[in-house]
Amino acid sequence: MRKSLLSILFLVALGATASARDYEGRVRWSQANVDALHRADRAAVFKFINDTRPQGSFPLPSPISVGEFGWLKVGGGKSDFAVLIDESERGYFNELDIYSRASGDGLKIQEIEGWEMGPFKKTVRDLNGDGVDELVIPKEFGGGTWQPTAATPGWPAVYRRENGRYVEDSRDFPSFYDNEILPRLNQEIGDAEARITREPFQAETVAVAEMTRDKILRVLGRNPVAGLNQTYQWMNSDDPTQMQCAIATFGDIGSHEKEVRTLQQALPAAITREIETRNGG
Amino acid sequence: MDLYNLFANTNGAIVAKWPIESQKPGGLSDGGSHIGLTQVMTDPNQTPDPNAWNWITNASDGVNLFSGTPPTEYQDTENKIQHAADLENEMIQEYVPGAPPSFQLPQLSATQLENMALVLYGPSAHLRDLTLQYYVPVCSSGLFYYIQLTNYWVCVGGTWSWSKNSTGNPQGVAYADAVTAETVPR
Repeated sequence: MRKSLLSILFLVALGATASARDYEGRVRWSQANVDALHRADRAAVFKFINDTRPQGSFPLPSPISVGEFGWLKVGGGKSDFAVLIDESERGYFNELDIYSRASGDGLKIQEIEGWEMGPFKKTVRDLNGDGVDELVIPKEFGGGTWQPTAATPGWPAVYRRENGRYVEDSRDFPSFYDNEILPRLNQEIGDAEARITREPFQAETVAVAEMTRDKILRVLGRNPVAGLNQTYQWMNSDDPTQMQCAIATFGDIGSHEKEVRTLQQALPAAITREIETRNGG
Repeated sequence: MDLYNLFANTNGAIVAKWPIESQKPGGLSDGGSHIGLTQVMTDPNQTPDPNAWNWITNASDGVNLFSGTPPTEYQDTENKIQHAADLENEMIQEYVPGAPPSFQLPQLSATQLENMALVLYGPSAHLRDLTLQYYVPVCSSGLFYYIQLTNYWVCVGGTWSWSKNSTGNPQGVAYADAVTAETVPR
C-alpha cells in the first residue's frame, strides 16, 4: 500500500470549534452545477447540499433545515452561493453555509455560526460599496443560555471575503457601527432609562444595550476595557441579567477569571429568587 | 401571555417574559415561534396540528419530536434520540481500538444518549458533524492517529472513552446542561 494512501495524521486535539468550519465538497465545482441553483427551489437546494457534503459527514435529514438561500457578490461578476441552515429542525437558522469555487475547480464549503440569522437583506450587505458583499452575522455573547429571562443577547459581527473565504473583520467597518448600530443602542439605552421608574425590566434592557455598545467599542479598538467600570457595578447587583452581563463582559475583556467564578457561583440563587419573585413569591 | 401588556415597552414590543426560545437577540419576542413546555415550533397549519392552541397537542409534538414519531411538518423519519444513536454508532465505528489493551468505545448510557439528543433539539444542534456533539471520543492514556484511507481514528496504548465536548460545541453543551438542570415540578 502506497504511503500516500495511508496518510497518517497525528493530532493533539480532536474537533473543530463550532464558530466557523471549512470543508472541501465531495464533487468539483463544475460537477456540482451550482449555476442551476439560480432557478432552484428548496427541495433542489436540499438535494444539492446533501450531494456535495464531504464523504463521512451526515446528510441533512429533512428539507425543513433549508432556509433562505441566494447569491453573494464576490466581484468580477462572480458569486458565491449561500444558504441558511437549521440543524435543530426547530427554526433556528444559526448556520450560514457558503459554497464557493476554489482553485482547480474545487468546491469549498464554509460554515459560519451565528444566532437567528436572516433575512438575507439584513445579512448580506455591501457595506463599503466596493461591489463585494459583506456578511452581518449576529453573534451571541458567551456564557451559554441566559436565564431566566427571554434573552439571548448578541452583537452584529461583520465578515468580509478574503482569499476566497469569509473572515470576521468588524473593526474595519466603523461606519456601519457608527451610523447604524451605536445610534440604535444609544437610543435604546435612553428610552429605557426614561422609563426605568415606571416600567418593569428597564434596568435589564439598559444593561444589555450597554454591554452590547461596549462590546462594539472594544471590537472597534476604541477602548479595550470599555464597560469595565460598569461591569463591577453589575457584579454587585442581585439581578441575574446584570450578573450575566458582568460574566459576559469580564469574559470578553479577559483576565477576570476570579470575578467570573464568583458571579457563576452566585448566579443560580439569583435566578431562583427572580423566578420566585415573578411567580409572586 | 402578557394579557395586560405589563411587559410591553412603548413601542409595543414585549420584553423579558417570553419563553427563552421564542425571541430575538435583545430579548424581544419573535412573535411566538416556539411555545409550550417543550418549546416546539408553532405549526403554520393549525388545523391538523393545533399545537398553538391545544396544550396536549403541543406537549405531544415536543415529546414525539424528541423520542417518538416526529410530527409530519418536520419531514423527518427519525426523532432526536434516534439521530443521537446514529451519531453514537458512527463514532463507535470510526474510533477504533489499536493493539491491546485498547478497547472500543462503550455504548452510551440512556442518560448520556439523552444529553446527545438534547443538543440536537436545541439552537446549537449539529446533525452532520461528529465533533460537535455533547460527547466526543477521547483516547485516554494513549496516542491517537487518523487513517485517511479508512476514515478511522485509532487509539494506541490507551482506551477510547466519552468526554463532554465543552470545547467543540460549548453552546450546545450549555443548552443541554441548562435543560437537565431544570427542576421538574411534582
